[in-house]
Amino acid sequence: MKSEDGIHSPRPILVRLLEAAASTVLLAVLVSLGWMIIASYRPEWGRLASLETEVAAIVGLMLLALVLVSAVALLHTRK
Amino acid sequence: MNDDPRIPAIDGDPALPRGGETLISGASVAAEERAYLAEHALKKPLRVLDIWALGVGVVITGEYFGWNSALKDNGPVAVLVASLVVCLLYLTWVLALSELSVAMPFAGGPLAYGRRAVGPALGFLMGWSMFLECQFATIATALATGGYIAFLVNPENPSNAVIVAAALVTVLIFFLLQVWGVKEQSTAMVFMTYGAILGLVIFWCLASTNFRWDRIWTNPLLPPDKGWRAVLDAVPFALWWLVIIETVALAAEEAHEPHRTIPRGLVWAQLTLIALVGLTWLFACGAVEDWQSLAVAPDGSPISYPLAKVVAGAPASRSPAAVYGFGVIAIFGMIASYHGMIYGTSRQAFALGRSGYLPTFLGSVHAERRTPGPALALCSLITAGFIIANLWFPKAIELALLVSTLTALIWYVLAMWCLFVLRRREPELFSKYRAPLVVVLPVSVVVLSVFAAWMYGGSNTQVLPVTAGLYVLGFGYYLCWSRFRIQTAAPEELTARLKL
Repeated sequence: MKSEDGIHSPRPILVRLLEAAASTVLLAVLVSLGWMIIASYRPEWGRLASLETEVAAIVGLMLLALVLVSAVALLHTRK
Repeated sequence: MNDDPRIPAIDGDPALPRGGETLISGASVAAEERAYLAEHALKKPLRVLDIWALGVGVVITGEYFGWNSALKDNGPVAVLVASLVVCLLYLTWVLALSELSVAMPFAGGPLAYGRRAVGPALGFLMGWSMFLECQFATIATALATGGYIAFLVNPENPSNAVIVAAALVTVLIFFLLQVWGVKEQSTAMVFMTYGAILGLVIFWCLASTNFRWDRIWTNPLLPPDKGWRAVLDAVPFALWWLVIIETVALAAEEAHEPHRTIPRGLVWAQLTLIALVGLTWLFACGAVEDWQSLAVAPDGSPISYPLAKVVAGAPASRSPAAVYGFGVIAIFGMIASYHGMIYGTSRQAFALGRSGYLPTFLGSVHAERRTPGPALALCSLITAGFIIANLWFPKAIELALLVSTLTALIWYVLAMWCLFVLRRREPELFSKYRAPLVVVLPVSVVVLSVFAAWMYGGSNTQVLPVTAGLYVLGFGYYLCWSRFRIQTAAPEELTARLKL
């Protein structure tokens, strides 16, 4: 969030919390990509649960990241 | 000093470009450089709606074809996970790209970023990458337009000759429209984008009459012989859902108040597209008995009209009118994207020509309309050449699609390098607009892009030598010829040289 003259002004706490949550979930997505590569090439390693649970967890994580980053993006371009 | 009223004035001097929010001072620009800029200036009529329409329109063809090749041997769940990875990549990418685009609002886009951050060689490499990305996307989309038209002519057995003829007509029509004028083509783009979205809404409605959940949430979820590998194999084709939205960054030089219009237009376009991706995947995969039939024809060639195929099998479209009606509207999706892609290809060729990295005749604009006619003509001719080659090489569409997405990923990574370099070295450049999630965002773009690019090595090796050959060709031209002939008065060069 910036003022008209381009100087950064303090952001509301809710926005900062949202950005922190989006960053954390994005990092978790990046870790999950690494896990996906391991599970692809070494299927016997690092399995978390049944395939159904793994797919549901990965899809849920990706959707959460999409929602959070979208919310941050919309707030950021609102002005 | 240029007194031409058609060229918008910037801070009193109509000829001078902007570098971030800072204008190049008249004192630091020679008279002949100012005259060169005036001679090669573009108009600035584009607003948020135009940017949104360009973003959605240029990408929407990805919903109509291309992604379906990801289904082959992988299945709908693998395509869903791969598509979510791609959606995240593009959402983070457009936010980071907005920052670069607002800081350097030039038609050269990646050329300007690389030139300013590192030097002419990286500028050329990035500009050439985007040129290849747009050019090959244009070829694939023209062929798919022909594919949908051929399907309408003969749904049972679409003819390759009709595909080629219809694609060539598309190339000619949109060459003429683009040469006509930027505002005129932008207005046409808004209407074509609405038509393309309407086509998808009709598709969802028709496909929903044949929808079953168990076709999506399959048992097993991933192919037993591939497991999670199926997701990785689906990624290169899933990229086609959203690739080429970065064309919008090239419109920054023609945008009114780019620091507002570019981020807002890009984010809204991306969110619209993510919604379209989700719904199209859902209804396409849920409405066919055998998802493999959406990817490959019985003769083994890739299917370029998957949505028409789904509609043809839905109970609500028993009457030929429904199939033909959808097919006609679906063509809006194709031509909207073709229109945006030829815009991107020509603007990149124009910028590379204006700066002397490619032959300088490509950098000329029409005296009255200020549109880059020679660049448009060359890009259209290259597209037409590849379309004709499709008569003897039916898999050209798949190859074009993969070259386009791979070259895109290469410059996404390089662009993030430029962003980090410029943020550290010239922080004032980004005072007008700064993307959120300052570090995590570009890091995510890099990791997601490398992840996607790595997938080509395993499953799509035929695209690697072709792409490498194109880079050798371009870089050979740069090293042997154009690096000695760079035009110092081009906006991308001027702002890099003056560091303003």
